[in-house]
Amino acid sequence: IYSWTGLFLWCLHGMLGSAMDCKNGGAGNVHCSISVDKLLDRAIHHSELIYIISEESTALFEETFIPKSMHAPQNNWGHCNSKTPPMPTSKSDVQQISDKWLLQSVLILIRFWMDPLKELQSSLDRYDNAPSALLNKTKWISTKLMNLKEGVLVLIKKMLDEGTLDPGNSVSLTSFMVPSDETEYVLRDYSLLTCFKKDAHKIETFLKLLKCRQTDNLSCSLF
Amino acid sequence: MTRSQVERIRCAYRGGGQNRDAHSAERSRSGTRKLTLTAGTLARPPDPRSPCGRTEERVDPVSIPSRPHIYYCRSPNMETFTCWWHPLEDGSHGDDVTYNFTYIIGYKPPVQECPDYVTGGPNSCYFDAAHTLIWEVYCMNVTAKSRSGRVTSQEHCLDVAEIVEIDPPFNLTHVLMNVSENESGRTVLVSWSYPIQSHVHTGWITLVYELRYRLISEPSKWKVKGLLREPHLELLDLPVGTYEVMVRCRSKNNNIWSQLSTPLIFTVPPTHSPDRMMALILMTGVGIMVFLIIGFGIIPQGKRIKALLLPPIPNPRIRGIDPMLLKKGKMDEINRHFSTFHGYKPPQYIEETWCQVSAAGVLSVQSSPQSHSMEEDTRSPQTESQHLLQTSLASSPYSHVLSPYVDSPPGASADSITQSSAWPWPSTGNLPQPELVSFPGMDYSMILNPTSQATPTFCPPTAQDFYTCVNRVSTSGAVHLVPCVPEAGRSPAYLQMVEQESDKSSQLSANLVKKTEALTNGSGDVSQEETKK
Repeated sequence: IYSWTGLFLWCLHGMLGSAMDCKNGGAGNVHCSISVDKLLDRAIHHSELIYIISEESTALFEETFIPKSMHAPQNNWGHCNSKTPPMPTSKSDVQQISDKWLLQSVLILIRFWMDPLKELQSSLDRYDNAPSALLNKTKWISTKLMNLKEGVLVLIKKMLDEGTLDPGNSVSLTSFMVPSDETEYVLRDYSLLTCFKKDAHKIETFLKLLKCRQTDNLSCSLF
Repeated sequence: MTRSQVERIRCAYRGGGQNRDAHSAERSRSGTRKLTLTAGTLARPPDPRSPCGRTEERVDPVSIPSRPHIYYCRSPNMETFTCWWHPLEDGSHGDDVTYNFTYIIGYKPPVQECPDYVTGGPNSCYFDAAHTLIWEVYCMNVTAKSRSGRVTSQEHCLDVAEIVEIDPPFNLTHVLMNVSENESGRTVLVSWSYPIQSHVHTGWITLVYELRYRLISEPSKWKVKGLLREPHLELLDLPVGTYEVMVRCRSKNNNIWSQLSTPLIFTVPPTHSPDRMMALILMTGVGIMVFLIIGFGIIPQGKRIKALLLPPIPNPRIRGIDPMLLKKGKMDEINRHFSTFHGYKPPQYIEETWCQVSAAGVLSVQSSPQSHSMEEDTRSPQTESQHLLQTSLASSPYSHVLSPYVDSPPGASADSITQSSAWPWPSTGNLPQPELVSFPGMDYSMILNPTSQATPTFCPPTAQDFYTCVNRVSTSGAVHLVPCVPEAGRSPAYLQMVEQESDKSSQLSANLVKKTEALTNGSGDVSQEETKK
């Protein structure tokens, strides 16, 4: 259900002109814009869906390939924070992050995961026994994440009045284990999935915190 | 990683061997793997692990009592968390057992000890906000120190973001909404309060709720409304009854539901829509009124209405005349009543075989009545009965050719007979003259023939009535009717008299005379004269 909802929303997102305020700038130039609130809502919705699908993918992968005794975080494969961009991890720290850094952190995380997800897709394709649902979900996540990145870029531009800094995706896969045999492939893909799920949760939380601050700055700052 | 684990992973990777050949064959042929995968997934056994010997998995060492065991960790708000462990079961270690709870974060030292052994209760470790990191892996174990040595539990690792279990909602309330026209039940708005309100407000945690309700009378039929984002819900169109409602919640990013809230019990009252009540009252009022009207208005008129609805078949009666008159034969009164009718003649009874008179006399008699009646008309002093008799004679429907019926006024009968030249009576007295006897009160005349040896015809005047009785039936089937005589006797009496001679007839005539006297006073002498003869 969620994948279908996500696809539908992706179609909506693709047509950015739907909920936009368009002004006629004269001489045929139409200037369309979308409000920050709506954009932020849309971004939050995207991130929620991405988290749900990544959670489902991880569960499916675990069920198919991972012995129960090796489920994260029981073993070292569940340790993501050394492999992914460092983020504040206590609630107080997170809530002390400024709006700007919240957005920037989200962008960093998104950019980090663009390549690893692509790699995950190709790796799953090589499996003998990967469920098709898993493949579909990972493909969907990649697409959705790209949309989210575009949305966050627009948000940064609108909220922070900064130019779009898009130096391209970071080289991220090196932090992950380079697999040499089948087992290592499975384990590496598993760590990719679990770490991505964590980061998806971070992205969602950051965006929601940002949302609260947009609407009610005072009470949201209290923690 | 153990060898068995590696083996299992490898086995799972290769798909248990069943479909492997097909997969690899397909892959070698073309790059597309969709079809193969679909076939593979369908043909895959429901538990993909089973071919790889997952049965080797062992249950957690809960059954081993000699080791402490961290069995449950929980964070109510993704800001703090608590872990509990089972202490050592057997008391062989004595009462001096101390537990040391240690943990590491992110698989890296330093090893830290539990910051708070107290807040969570016995055998617990509570991590406050300062000591809690989200999205980090905590690996912890607890060591039991006793005189006999140290026993360490199995390592338990967790990520706080994944052990979020919220407290249950509370303060459930309900509001009955207004009734709409077409619905049979009421809509109820149920709302509740949720914990960690600040966390939810800032967006740190997003809650989803699940509401379940049931009719108290059906304890097993729970209805569940899930994936609620708001802390209220409208239950639409609930039928009348008593309901129990419970709510639970969870973090949107977790699958761990909270405990169920304390139940809310409310009753949906039956709907008294004012329109329906008014209609009911009106209908019952109208109904009662109608019944009262029927009861008090119609029942007294019962007979009339009954006559209107079921018109009675009238008994044979003539209006204004008492039917008893007819029965008792009060001819005088009857004739009086009927005289007003045009063309009425008192009915007459004629017996053929009675009172035979000579043919000449009969014929002459025939013609006479008309003239006689004309003559009689001129006479003024006529009793009513005479007139009646005359008229009856004049237009008697029963007059027969052979009927020896002659009518003559009693008083002047003799005179008229003697005086009237019209009377073709033979003036000679040689022949035994049949005597004509008529009685004014009755419409019956009698001719007495004392000397005649002919058929003992006898015309006994009978009691005056309108009813006839059958005397006898002739062989040809003709019926001889005689007036019914309730007093003087029946036909047997008649027959007897017929057989007897005149002395009997005289007795009867005396009877008749008496009656005549009773009926008419003025003419009594003449009849007596005649009877004496």
